[in-house]
Amino acid sequence: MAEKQPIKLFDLAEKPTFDLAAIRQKLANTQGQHYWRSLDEIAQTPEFQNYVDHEFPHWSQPLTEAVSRRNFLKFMGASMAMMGLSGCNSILHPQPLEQIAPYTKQPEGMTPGKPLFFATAMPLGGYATGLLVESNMGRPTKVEGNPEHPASLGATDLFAQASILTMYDPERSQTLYRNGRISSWQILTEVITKAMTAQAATKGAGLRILTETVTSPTLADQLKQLLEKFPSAKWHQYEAVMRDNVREGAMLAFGEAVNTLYHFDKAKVVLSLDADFLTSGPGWVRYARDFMQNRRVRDGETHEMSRFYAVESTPTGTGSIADNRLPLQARQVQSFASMMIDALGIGGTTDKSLPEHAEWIAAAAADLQAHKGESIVIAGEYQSPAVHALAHQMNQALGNVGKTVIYTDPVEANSVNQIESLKQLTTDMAAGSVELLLILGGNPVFDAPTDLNFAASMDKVALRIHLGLYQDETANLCHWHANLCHWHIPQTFYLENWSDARAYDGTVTVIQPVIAPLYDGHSPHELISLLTAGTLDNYKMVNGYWQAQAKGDNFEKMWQTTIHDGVMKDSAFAEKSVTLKTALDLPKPLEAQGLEINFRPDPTIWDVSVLTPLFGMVVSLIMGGCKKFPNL
Amino acid sequence: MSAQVFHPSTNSLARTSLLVGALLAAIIPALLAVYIRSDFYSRVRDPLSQPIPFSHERHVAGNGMDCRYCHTSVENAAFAGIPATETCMTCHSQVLAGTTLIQNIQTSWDTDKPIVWTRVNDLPDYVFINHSIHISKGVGCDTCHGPVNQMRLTWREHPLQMEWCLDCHRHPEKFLRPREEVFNMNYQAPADQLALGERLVKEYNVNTSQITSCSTCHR
Repeated sequence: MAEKQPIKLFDLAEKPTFDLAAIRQKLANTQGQHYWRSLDEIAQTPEFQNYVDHEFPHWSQPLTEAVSRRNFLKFMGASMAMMGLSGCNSILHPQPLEQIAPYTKQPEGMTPGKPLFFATAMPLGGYATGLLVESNMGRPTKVEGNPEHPASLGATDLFAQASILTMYDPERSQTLYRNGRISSWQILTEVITKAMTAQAATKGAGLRILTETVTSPTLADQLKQLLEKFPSAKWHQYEAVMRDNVREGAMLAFGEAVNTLYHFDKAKVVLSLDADFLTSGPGWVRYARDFMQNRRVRDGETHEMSRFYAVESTPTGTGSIADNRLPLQARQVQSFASMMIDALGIGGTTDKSLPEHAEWIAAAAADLQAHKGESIVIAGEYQSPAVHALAHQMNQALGNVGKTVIYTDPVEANSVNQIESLKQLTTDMAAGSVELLLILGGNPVFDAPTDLNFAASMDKVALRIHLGLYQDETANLCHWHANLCHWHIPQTFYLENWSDARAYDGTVTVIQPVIAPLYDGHSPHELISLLTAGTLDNYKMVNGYWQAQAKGDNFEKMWQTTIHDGVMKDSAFAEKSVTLKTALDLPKPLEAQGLEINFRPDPTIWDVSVLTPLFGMVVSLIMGGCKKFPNL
Repeated sequence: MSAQVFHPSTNSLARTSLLVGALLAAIIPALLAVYIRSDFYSRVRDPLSQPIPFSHERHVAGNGMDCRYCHTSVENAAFAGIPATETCMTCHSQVLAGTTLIQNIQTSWDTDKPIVWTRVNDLPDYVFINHSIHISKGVGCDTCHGPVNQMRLTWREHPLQMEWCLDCHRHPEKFLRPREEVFNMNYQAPADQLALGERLVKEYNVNTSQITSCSTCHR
């Protein structure tokens, strides 16, 4: 076993040098078989290994973990043997008697032992992906995409696939807590009613509601009605993986928030400015399919393969399939985009800070210009608003708008700058003007920017209520100190209650539950409804909202079709015409000096809110540790 | 001189114990083998107590009901299905209504709580069986479940152990019958069963090599 070297991530001074020139020299003298053999030999030299370890520390670490092959096989063998044993009947006792409980009234269309499939949708960051959920005798077991849903077309992402495990996760929050002690919905109702009576006097001046991104028309309508009743109350939205940059980019370019849709199936040339549109972001499942359709030319097909230029700051799946990939620091992308603007002849910028890439830019620009109306320039969600504005400018100049790039109203029910929204809430809380705070989902104590000092400000609120799937930091700290959250309410999972949500193009899906809540869970709808003393029946709320919206007389038929198909017909947003501002007032790009740190959601665990089983385990380990060592 | 540690009789004791040990080594496994094949162990012909003294004899032989009236999914699912209380109530809202005999059905219907039966034919959880495939290949109900039409209380007719399953999976021709006779509880195998069986094996595409592989049932 090689001794493990501690890896110093940021110590560039110690970065091992690797003599590329010498290796090239060595390889130049070899040919054929010997060439490839030498490559292998070089890859095994300690210098090269050391170099790789420093360049990609996250790759090298798992390989040096101290589980030997022998141990691994030992444990494998033992667990296999145990597995076999658990399947056996005891030889001394007859098989235990089992009970069997049929229905009292068997549901129509149900064959015991055969699964049924229900259309529903999973919201992630507010954006819905249509799903078909397999249900065996009333228990959901598998999630697949809904072929009729525009964001899915029958496919899903890894988060939707894994979500079924979250639903059954025993670490999920199961009961209501008040000041760290188990409580009941009834007591909560009393407490809230009392608080709301007090708020009514001031028109809700002390009431604040913090949600994650809301695309649900029903929830938005409920909040709207609440705010009408309590005009001084405020609704804030915050989510760790937010899309503020996208929003602000549109504000810079058009002066209003818009939602941008891309038709990758019609695009022959695509330029990505640090956009990972094939593995994340709203509608990526659909985008990946559309995009790859043009990348594959099968026998007998005559269309040309599309071309893809990718500029990116970190290796992504998207960049890996690019025809031309240019690694750039994230902060250089704005300069790159400016030079691109210049090369496209749109003018207006004098940024020449990347002369070494001028050739690359010229080639990509020529290609884009040769495909006016059939190209896409897409900016990444984690790029600055300026880059987004420049991308909008390029699409406009290339005549893509209305063809491959479509603008619609924002999918969010109330599009806000979430950081600003959270800042305002924190300021209000710190000033002591908040008396009742409702946190509907999310874990701001953990993931709000540290500078905002969210937890400390929250401490000044008289009544704090948290609705969440897990007893996370926001919920948990109140267990330990009983001073952060007064109430924690377990949230229902998306498979457990009626709701609705919009997809990346605005298409509405009525989220239908496939199982009754496993625990004493409640939905955001119920909590908002509790504030206004409305119905607590989720189905009535969602159904009632759409009934009020219905134009035709045949609502019931439309409603049944919508639930059955998992898609509300003609609910996608219509194309919207927007006017690009003539002079873009863009902030200057950051100076490219020293190290750069990029904060992005993990491609597999997102912002941790979806990595629940493991996360729960880690939290309980830490909690256990803290209980043992209270001084920690 | 010290005393002998062992009495001379210990010699014969040692010899005997050698012999007994050898005998035990042979007898215990043999006894176990007999035991696990016993009707006690496999609960064969042991009418289990049920919440309702349900008589298949009354319903099938007496009233002439078809198996599928209650076991609705037997032809198209793995599980044959146990009737919902609603099925019982189609008749028993009138027949025997109000009697103590069907008290539990009425209670279940009134309270919307299921009738909890004890499983009679219960395979271990590591065995998979699909009823519909057996039906469509011409395995009669009574081939596995015995003369259910004569059972006043339901019992298990066969041990449902692997060697019993394999009897048929190895030689399906001994047991198959025409599909239209599957639900006939009074079916008598013809004298030339082997000839008929071999014909049906071909006609119904019974894949004899596949049905003896482990993963057919253990999956």
